Amino acid sequence: MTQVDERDLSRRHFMKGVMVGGIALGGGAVLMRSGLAKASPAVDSLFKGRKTQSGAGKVHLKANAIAENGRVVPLTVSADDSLNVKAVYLLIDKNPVPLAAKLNTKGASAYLSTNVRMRETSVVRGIVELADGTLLETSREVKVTIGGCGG
Amino acid sequence: MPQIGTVKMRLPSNVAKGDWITVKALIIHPQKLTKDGKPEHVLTHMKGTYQGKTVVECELGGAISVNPMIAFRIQATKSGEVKTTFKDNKGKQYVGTATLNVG
Repeated sequence: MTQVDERDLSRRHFMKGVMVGGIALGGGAVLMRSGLAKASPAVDSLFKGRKTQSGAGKVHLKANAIAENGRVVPLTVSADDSLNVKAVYLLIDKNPVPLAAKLNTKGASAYLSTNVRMRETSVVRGIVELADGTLLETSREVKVTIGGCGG
Repeated sequence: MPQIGTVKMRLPSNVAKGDWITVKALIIHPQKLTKDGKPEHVLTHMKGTYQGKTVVECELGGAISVNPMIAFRIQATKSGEVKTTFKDNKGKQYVGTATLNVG
């Protein structure tokens, strides 16, 4: 009897352990994912550790989800007119030099549209710097297909 | 093939006073990189002026495509000249102009 009990207990413990561990792992994965979306080495090195905030709804990044040709990828960053924007940045995480273009607004609207080249599938970030130094970011992944076989 | 540095500009017609308009500039440029991806002959700066006043200043990286198009938005106040000036890392300067008709 006691033996069975013990086994039962240990099994229960084991199951508990697995479940708790699973939850912890799952939670960790979620945290990591949200952490990755925020902190990118490209952003860190450009802004020297200054944190960006989500610019959802305020900063708009127009990009195709799939770029057939990595040599010419049209990208557009724009921001709401209500924001007092100092500069607009366009970053491509996996390019050798992530900063593709920076636009200083001097009376113009916070709008930058250009064609860039991308070496591989990467996260593209549109970052807007406000007059008070706040950084607002919107990012999106652009897949670069070679030979049209899908990412 | 047009010559390197040819700047073509496009402005909307039928512009009313106070409208925000998109200025598009296309420049013929090789945007050449070395084999290991370092800039060899690339554009570094773009400046946009409207009625003689600077409205945008742009710093460009090696990721800008060959013969790039760059667009920005300005507010039309009165008819005047819109000018874009490109500079590359070989010290060359290329200018494109267009006339904006407001009214």
